[in-house]
Amino acid sequence: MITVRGLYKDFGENDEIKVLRGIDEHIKKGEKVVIIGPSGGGKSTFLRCLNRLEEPTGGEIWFGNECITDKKCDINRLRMKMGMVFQHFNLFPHKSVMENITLAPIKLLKLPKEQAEKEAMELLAMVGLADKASAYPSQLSGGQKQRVAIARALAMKPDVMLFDEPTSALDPELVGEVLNVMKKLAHDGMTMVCVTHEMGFAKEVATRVLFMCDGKIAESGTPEELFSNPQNPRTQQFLQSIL
Amino acid sequence: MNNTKKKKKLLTTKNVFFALVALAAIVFAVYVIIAQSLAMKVTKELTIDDAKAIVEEKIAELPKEQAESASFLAENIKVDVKNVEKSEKKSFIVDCEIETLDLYDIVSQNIDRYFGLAHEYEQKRTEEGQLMKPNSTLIRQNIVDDFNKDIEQAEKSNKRIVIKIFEISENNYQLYYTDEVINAIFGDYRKAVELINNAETCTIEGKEVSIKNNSTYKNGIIECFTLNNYEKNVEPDPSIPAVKWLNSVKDSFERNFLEKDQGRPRYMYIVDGIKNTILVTLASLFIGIIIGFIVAVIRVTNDTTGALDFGAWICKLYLSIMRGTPLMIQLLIIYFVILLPAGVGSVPSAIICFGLNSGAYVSEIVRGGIMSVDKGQMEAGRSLGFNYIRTMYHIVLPQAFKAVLPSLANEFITLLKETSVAFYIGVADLTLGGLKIRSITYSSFMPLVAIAIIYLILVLGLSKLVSILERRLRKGDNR
Repeated sequence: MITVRGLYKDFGENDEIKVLRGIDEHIKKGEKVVIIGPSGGGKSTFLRCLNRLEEPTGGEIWFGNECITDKKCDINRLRMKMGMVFQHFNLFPHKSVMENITLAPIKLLKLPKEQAEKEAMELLAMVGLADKASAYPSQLSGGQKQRVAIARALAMKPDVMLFDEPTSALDPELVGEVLNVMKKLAHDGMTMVCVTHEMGFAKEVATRVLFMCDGKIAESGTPEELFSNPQNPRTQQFLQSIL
Repeated sequence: MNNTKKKKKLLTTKNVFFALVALAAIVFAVYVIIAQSLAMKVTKELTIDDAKAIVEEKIAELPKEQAESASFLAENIKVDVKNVEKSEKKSFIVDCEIETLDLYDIVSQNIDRYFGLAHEYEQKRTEEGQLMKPNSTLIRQNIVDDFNKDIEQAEKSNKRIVIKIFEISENNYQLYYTDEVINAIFGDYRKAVELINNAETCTIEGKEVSIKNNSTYKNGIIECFTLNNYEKNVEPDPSIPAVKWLNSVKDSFERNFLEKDQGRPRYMYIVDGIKNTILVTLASLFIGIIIGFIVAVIRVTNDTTGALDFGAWICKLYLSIMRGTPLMIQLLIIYFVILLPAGVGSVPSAIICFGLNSGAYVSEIVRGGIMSVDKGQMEAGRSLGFNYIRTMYHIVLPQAFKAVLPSLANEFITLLKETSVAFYIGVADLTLGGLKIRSITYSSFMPLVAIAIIYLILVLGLSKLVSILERRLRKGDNR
């Protein structure tokens, strides 16, 4: 479903900060890929390159049979098929929960308002927030905000969901409710790419775990392989330090 | 607990302030009423004899200088007071019978003779070879003896008149001479003057002579009995200064706002001015917001993505010009140099100028607002599939607008006040309305303070509207 070939990304005025240094990866439909690694390793940048929120410096990304990195491709159309959930939720504070979820379906998919709201209610029921439809983001807790953000991304019926550290900004007791929604999503067969520090979640849900370090994918494998028998010394070191 | 709360609430600084102001106003009002009613009371009642003495004395004082005949007449008037009645405004109404001469009768019977005397004198002078033109004083000197004899011999008659006596202070009185009173005392004095002034011909030595335009003769005769210095029609006002001031304010108000020019009361200048000021402000505000948002979006896009280089350059040029030159110079240039030759009127020109000017300031405000919106908002919108412009429109700009609303309100208030320079290009706005009234009445206080107050009310109203709008937009913020 997503194929990445030789992806490079440099930051800075003269591209002196090399964040991604050649990534090759293939994510199949239905896979739940969890990306772990030390901070500064390029995890988030890699994820953000997948829907071109960051412009790659080099390499190709294919989504289905379309090249995302091609300047001529209609990136806005492709983004509709790639839901994204952010670390800081990024809900629209001037709109109610319902409006947050229905804005894109109504404006972009041209759904009638009634239908969009019906679907939004279903999504809110799925994330357990059916009673918050008319609330404003400022009235919600962090966990509730993130669940709304997930519902918002799902409202566009994406083929793949990208999670950029979805629980990092949450109080510890709120992490569980968000992870539960993500687990439910995984069980329903959604293709997911998730940057996270929740090793428990990775062990339970992931079909594959990527360990990223120094702008490269240092190691890749099933959770069992990677957590119980890491091959790369960097992976060993990282796992030791967090477990 | 509840009780103490209530007591505390009553004693706020604001309430105390208003209570003191109200108290001061009441004390002042009571003082004015008492002082005014005291000022209106006479200190001493007048008996009939007192009144008679005063009236006779004052009438005798009436003619000054010149008119010996009038003096003679005044000194010989007999007054018989029938009744004295106290009146309001520190005065008495004296009902009296006076014995006086009918001046009109004397003049109408002898007018030909007087003109004859004047003419005779003129002839004599010409024969003597005096080339200097005669003046009315010389003519009078020649006639006055004759005239006085006529008066002395004339028969007197009785007239019933009402005279008002004012008490200026204790034992100091003043008569109020209306034209009617003067006319009655001096036996149809006005009619006599009129008769002489209107004379067209007279018979001199059996011949008809035209004297229609001979003002020298006429004035000479009139001066024999003229009354120059009576205080006419000015009723003394014993009111206390506060009341006098209030009355003068009332008069000034009426003169500046209520009097009519060609059937239109003067306040209409201000009403029309308000309409134009509001029209110019709202229209240029509308233009300013549109320009401001467009310029802001172009500049932010250029800053964040590097696109639209040329557009951003144009915007910067526009900003430097609009913010770097005085508004009034812009107004004069836009109207007199650019738009007037193109046949555009002053109101549309003012709207365009103020719109362009305010657009420059609004754009900087909005740019700050857009930059204050979290970067994540743009990313969230883009990640859902909205393009840059639509994300701006649906997500970033509404938040930016809310953030900059107080600054925008400030800008609009400034704009409302700045439109007052529009009168320079002849826009009949509020300022010009006030200045027009000032040029008619020559009074500055009323019209200028009035337009200042109206501007203040407009600004306060606008602030109120903005705070309502702000409260409605804030509904997403309550925590």
